[in-house]
Amino acid sequence: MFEIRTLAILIPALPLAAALVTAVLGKRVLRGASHWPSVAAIGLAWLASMALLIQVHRRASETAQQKGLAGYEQIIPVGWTWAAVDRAYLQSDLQPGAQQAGFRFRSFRIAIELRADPLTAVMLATVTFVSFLVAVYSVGYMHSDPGYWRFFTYINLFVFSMTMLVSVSNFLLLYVFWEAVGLCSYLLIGFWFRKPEAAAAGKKAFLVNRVGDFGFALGVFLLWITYGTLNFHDGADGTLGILGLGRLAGGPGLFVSGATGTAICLLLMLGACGKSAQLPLHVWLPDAMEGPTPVSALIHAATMVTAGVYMVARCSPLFVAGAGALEVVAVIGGLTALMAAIIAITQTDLKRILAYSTISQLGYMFLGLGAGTRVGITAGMFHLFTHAFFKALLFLGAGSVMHAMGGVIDIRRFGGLRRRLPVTHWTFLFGCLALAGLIPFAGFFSKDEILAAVHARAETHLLYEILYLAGIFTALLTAFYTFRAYFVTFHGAERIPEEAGEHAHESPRWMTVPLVILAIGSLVLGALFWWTEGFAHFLAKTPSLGYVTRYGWAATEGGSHLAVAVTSTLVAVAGIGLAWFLYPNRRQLVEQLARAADRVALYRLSAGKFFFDPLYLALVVRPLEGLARFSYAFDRYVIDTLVDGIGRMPVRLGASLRWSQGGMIKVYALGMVLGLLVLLGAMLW
Amino acid sequence: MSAPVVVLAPEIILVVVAATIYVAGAFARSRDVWVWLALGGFLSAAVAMVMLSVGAVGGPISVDGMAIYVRWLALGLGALLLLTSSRPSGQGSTPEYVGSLLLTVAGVMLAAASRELVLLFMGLELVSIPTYILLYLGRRDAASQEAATKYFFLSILASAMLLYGFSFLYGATGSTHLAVIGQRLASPEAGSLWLARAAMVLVLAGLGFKIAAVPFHFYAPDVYQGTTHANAALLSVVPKLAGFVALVRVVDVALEGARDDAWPIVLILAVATMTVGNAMALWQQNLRRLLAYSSIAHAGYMLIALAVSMATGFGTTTAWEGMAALWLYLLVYAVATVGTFAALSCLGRGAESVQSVEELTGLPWTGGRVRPVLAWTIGLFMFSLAGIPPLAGFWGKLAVFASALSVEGPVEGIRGWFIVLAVVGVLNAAVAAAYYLRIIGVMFFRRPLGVPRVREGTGGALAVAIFSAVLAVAIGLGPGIWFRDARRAAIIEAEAPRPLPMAAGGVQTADAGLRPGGEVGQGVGFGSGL
Amino acid sequence: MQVSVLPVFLLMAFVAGLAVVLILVGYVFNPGRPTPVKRMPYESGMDPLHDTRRRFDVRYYLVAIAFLVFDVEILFLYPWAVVFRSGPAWVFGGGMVFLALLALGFIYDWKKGIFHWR
Repeated sequence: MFEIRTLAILIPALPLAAALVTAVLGKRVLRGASHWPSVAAIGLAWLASMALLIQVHRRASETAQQKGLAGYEQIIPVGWTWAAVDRAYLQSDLQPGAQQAGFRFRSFRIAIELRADPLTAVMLATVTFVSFLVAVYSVGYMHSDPGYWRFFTYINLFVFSMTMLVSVSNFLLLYVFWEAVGLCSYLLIGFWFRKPEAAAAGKKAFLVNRVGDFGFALGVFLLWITYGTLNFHDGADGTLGILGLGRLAGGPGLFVSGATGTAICLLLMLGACGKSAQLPLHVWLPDAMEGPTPVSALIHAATMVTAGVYMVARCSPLFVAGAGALEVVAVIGGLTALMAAIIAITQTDLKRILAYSTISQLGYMFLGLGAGTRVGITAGMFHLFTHAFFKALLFLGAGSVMHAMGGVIDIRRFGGLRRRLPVTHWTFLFGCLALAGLIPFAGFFSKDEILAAVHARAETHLLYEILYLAGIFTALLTAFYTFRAYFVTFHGAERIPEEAGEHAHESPRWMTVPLVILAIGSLVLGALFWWTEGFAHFLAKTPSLGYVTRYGWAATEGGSHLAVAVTSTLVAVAGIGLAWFLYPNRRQLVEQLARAADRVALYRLSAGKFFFDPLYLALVVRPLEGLARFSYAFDRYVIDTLVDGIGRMPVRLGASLRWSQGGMIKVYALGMVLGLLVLLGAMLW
Repeated sequence: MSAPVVVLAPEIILVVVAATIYVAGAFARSRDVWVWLALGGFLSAAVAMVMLSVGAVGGPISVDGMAIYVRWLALGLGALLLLTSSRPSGQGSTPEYVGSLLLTVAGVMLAAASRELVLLFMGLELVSIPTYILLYLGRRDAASQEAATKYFFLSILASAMLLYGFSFLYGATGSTHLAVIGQRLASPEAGSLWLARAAMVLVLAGLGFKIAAVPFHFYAPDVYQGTTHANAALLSVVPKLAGFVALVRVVDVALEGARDDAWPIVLILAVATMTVGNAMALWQQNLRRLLAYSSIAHAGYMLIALAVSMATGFGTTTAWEGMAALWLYLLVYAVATVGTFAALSCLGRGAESVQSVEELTGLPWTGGRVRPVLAWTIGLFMFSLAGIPPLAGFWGKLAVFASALSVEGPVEGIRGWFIVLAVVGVLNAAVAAAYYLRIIGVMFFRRPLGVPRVREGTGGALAVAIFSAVLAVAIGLGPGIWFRDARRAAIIEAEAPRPLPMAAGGVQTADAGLRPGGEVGQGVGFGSGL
Repeated sequence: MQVSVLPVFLLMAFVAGLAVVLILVGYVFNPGRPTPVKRMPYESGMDPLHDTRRRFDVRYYLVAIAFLVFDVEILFLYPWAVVFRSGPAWVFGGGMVFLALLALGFIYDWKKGIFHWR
């Protein structure tokens, strides 16, 4: 077998190499075959990830038995020190022996080091697997697009960045790759950059993410000046990493608590809100659907948007230490889940429904993390894992529909497609069932665990009681809007928009095979891992989570709770039933219901997406525009006038001196002598 | 006492080769031979430099870091100028031209090595007098004659001032040896120093002409415009080199006592020189006239570095940095300026070389193989002269301004003065960018108006342009060794009774005191410089 | 330390006085019969006060400069002739080098035809 070291380096290296090859050769040499380096590299990276997962699993079990440590981690240096500053300022220094020494400076060193631990291994396996299937799907979907090679270059760059993001063991590098995936996201949302909506959506995603990233950056600064390091792991020289085994073993005393601790968590959470599209920074994700559908599936559903969840899970000891931080995470998660689900009910664009559903499901994940127990965090991660499968499946299915419908994605314009697109129909149904959380599909187990974890906290905390109820209600809405989309699209009378033309048939093999694989995954994975309880136990061997097990809220409940399971199943069935009753044939009833709901402004709120965009426009964009206009005018009329005036001064000066160069030797000589006399006078005075 | 002869072997070789070329040229008519012979002379002088710069000599000659640096620089520039002007007149005066060029280089080298007023003056005149001939030989038309005449008259006026200053120094101290002069002026019984101060002003004036400092700059635009590109290149670097080395030797190091009063004058000269040079350059349409003002402005920047080293006092670290900045600046300035003139001398319209900025319009797009190369090299030199990184000129300006900002002298308020000076310098650099970039703009962003001809027989000049461009980029990308060499050039043997600051490269310090009885001691040698 | 400058002032006074006396003598005793040639500032050479565009023969200046060089040469040789016996050998050698350079210059001038008054 391969060693962990080799595998961990190989996983990001392969996509990077493929990205370079495709970038250099794609346009001229590879052209229509541009997908081969990508598919091969990502496939190999997936195999390497699986091998890594197995290795890590074995080593984690051994280590946990032998030493009784908080968890298992291995650091793999790449041998490149990216930054090294000898004396960097600190405010406080949470390193042993630093307090009495009383010094305020510490060497700031950022070495590129990868890590292998259960959390990373799971993320790597998920990311590479979904990426592989999406890459295969894209071969069919992006076929004959003029930017074919460009697309695969970006995808590889993204896979590289994302695998690095979950592999690095340092906050600054995490930030770097956080930005790198953001860049790939921007490039891919605006992939069809000639379309103004796509360009605008790319810009919006980038700008909204900047707000979150700003918070994240501040959080990293604050981490540096309080902890005196940015590494997750302990250094070989005895320095304690922020999330290193040494500090974790030392317990809560070694973590910053109080206002600073909370501030760090809130700033990190702001970053997570940007990347994972949580309230109030969720507005970019629906617009991001302007990108190619495989991109929506990969980046904006399965992988990149879960970076925030990964980060919060990774930093869970910090959140445990920061008072009130976990509650904030839970409230943001719960509110986002509910709000996005309400919005999803009235949307008519299939991809947007799925986008709001993604936001909602990410909210669930944060809700789980916010429970602050080992069960909650592993449940959040488990939901991340299953969600990657069924949401990618749904997006790819939507893409398949879109492919067949000639680019039309408005569910009001087509219907009854189940006979035209049999494979798409069945796989989409599997995805819907998983999303709705129906037993025995994957979504059921993961969502159920989250709700159970919140429920466990609810016994002692009113806030979690409310959040639990919100979660249950969201489950009802989820089932309803999912199956609304499903029934409208695949049932009822067959309607096909004219744009489809001759195209209205099942997608090619390149696209349907990934659908089938993902559908199988959505069906069996949840049950498999629930049955074996392997996922939670394995993940708990991550150092951070081991710490939470020991010092977090001690909730002893297992991964499921019967009452919760029954409630959520009933609610899901009710949602599906309601959707089946209303769609696609009871149009008038739907309209009546909508009008009734609107008496309390609910329908309008939902259809208007809670008016976040106009709100931001009025509160942020317009004032900033005004400021920009004012600055422009100030610059144009005040500064420029000044600068032009100053700029004209040397020219004037030159003009005023031109008489002196008359060309007469005697004048020149006189000038020299006069100059000499003046200098003599000045000197001897 | 054959040591001076040995140490001066490079100069002697150059003079012998020059004399040979003069006389033999009267007998034989050939063109290329003389150029090759002169190149051989430069080469043998360089070999002599390497082989013989071992021991130091007391007395009138010193082979300290500055002398070594300047002599190498003079040799290198001499070779470049020779290649640039390898097609001087076509009227059979090649031997005279080449011989005079060799003599000017020998003059610079002699001035660099001399620590004695008579020898120094002789070195400077050995620069001036052949220059008159060169100006006369450059081109035989009215404008050229006018330029030569102007330069001749004004130059002898400046020489007179300089000599007057030297005689004051001798009168005040009774010695022509710089170290002794410095020592006597610094001694407590020196009494009033007004004679020395007057001498300093006269020397500043006389040498100010050579470096084209305001108000002794008037000749430059007219003379540059009147003469050829090759001569303009010579005028813009060779007298500056000689003038600055003499300024450092006399004003900065020897005139210890008078120096504290004199730095404000140098500071004001620097400001006036930069500002007038740049402001006037903005108006120029003639290429050589524009570059003349540019050369005046650059003298101003170099005067900043001189003022820094004068104000902080010879021997302090800041003074040392200031001098190093001066030498680095001179190098990067010379590379870009000689390169520019070399490139311009390749281009012509009819029989004449290009005159006005407009003639370069659209140069890179006029086709051919040579013209685009010339355009790109000229563009590069303009960027370097404007001080834009990562080219050589940037490091020169950086060193100069950084040295000005690091001044912290004993005098109250001195720091403020130098901050103002640095700010004025930076503003001037911004103004200067306007006319450098105008040339680039004219070349690259306009449609060609006509096609300038690539003149025949300018292969040497083209090689110089390309070589200088490569050098400008190399210095820009790897400034380390050039900084190191400039720092070594700031090591000056002065027999001052205090140690020089430690050099960065582990170079030995010169700490040779004055021996009892006023006899001049042996300086410490520094091995071969570059 | 300071050398007495009194002799210098004495010399200056003598020179000034002599000049005044000579002019006075000439003024008192001149017979007062001017001719155009006599009224010229320099009897040989050219009138320095005239229009700058006037033509003149450059060969005159060439000869004059050559003459000047060999005139000044004597000035240098006097002190050298006084001391070269008492000094080391290179003092003699230095003088010879000087003379050799002058000779080279002479050869150059000759070959260039400066002495050839066509």
